[in-house]
Amino acid sequence: MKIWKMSLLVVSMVSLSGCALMGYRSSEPKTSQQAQIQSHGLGTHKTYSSYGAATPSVSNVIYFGFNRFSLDYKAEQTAHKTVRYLLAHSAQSALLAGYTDPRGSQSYNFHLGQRRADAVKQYLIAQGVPAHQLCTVSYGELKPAATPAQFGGDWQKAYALDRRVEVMLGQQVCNGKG
Amino acid sequence: MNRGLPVKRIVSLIVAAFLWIQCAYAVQMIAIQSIPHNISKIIANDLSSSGRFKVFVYTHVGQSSGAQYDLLGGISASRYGRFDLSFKLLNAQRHTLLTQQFANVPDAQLSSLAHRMSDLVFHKLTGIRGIFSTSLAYVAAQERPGSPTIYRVYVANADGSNPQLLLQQIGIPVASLTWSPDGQNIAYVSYDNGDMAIYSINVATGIRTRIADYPGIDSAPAYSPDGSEMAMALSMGHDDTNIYIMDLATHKLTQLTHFGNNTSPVWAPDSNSLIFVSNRDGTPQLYALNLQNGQLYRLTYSGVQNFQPVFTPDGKHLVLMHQKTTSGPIVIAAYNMQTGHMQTLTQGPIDKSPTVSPNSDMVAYTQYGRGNGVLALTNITGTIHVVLPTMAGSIQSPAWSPFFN
Repeated sequence: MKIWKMSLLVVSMVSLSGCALMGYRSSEPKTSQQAQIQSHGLGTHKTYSSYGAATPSVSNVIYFGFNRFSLDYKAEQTAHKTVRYLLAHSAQSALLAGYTDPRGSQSYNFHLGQRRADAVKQYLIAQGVPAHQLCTVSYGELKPAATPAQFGGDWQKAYALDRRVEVMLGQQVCNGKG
Repeated sequence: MNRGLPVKRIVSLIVAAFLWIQCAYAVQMIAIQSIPHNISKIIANDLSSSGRFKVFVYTHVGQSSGAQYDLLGGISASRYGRFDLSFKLLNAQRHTLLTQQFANVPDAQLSSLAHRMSDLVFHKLTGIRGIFSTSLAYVAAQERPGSPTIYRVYVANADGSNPQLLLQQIGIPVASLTWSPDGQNIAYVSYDNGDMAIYSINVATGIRTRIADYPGIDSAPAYSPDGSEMAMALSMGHDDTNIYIMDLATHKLTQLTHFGNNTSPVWAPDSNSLIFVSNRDGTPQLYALNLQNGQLYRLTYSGVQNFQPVFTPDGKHLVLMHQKTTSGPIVIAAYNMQTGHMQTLTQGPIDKSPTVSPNSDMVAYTQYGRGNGVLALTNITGTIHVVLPTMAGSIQSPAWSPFFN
């Protein structure tokens, strides 16, 4: 369990640094498998299935301080890569997904995740990216990027990776979103 | 429904017996090997998990334990693969019969019968309705190497047994489970097509319904006590997250707050007020809004953070996530509505998402200290602590059902 989580982390770090070195050519959106929803009534044997939209891949990650939703200098530098890409690809849309660490309640953290996504959106708009290319979503603490066990129990390191906005690129990525 | 047995038969069944109880805060049971399902074990586990009984299970009738009450039972195979059962609850010291029960059930219903017997014994000896036939719903998030996490919603017995899969989503989180007051639906927050919305799912049919899908945050569903309305926290694409009430028949919204991060609304059992969490004074604290006259006041001043409240159905307590000092643990606590006293129930370091049993006696929550949620159980006085068995994965958002009747 621990080993594969570590290897996942290594893979994601390599792919992140890959983005930084090679620019955005390496981070063209790829569609992963279709997200699937199935429900089963407990009083029947019926199953209902639906296929969600393709999950877009992550092209950039911007990190935040504890309980903060403003971009510091490093975060702005990271976000600027997305600015350059979106200005050069006006047909592309970017979904900005905001996340938090698990300190707090699930419901309370939705707000913080949303404010982080909104802050990145405002920065991109201020840098000239048209608002219609951007949309946001908050996952709050529901999708942690790391666990303290990966860092030998050092929760500060894990939680620092959780506090983030992921930039997801794709032509359909903002369809039907507010 | 239950076919009574002739008295002579009962006596012989008890001689062939499987179950025997004594109590004064001690319940004793006797089991025989020939029982097709371990009924004594279920009843013993139910009663001891309540924290109110010390339970001993014996294999032979007549062993003296010094306990105050005896639960005595018998089982025999009847026709068509069914079983005849009898139970007697006795005051062991006064040698008086407190209650007795007869049943004829198929094999598949033996465990639910055992939970019903736990309810009967618990009610007889405490005066409080038992919750051993109610359900706990929870989310199990299963991480997979190189693939999206699978989020599953299970509905299990209150003791964690017999989990049944209700909903499975690949890569799409589910959170904030809450039962409708009639026990037929579970409302939740999720992300079909990557967009946040509030849904409900019918537990019997599995049919899902989208209830609220506005720009930004759609979260924290809470059914009104009569089930006709739902309180929720929406951002409507703005900077603030506010509390709204939706009429579920017309979907008409009424906005109740106007500034800051306002979330986790819960209805007082009398429907006259809403409690919610707000950061309007800096840190998250609980506020009470009188729905009759619109009066608003701050409820909690103890601790740096208080959130995710749930009412005990008797209205006496709010059970919530409580952090006393900035670097201290996040624990589950019970806030006494009358005295304002905050009673710590758990240790932390990060305990989350409390949910209260319909008899106001027990609290289920998740322990998140190691980054992987574990389903745990305590009581309203914090005197017992039990980890409940679950399906694999990180356990999140437990929700206790109402009584099903």
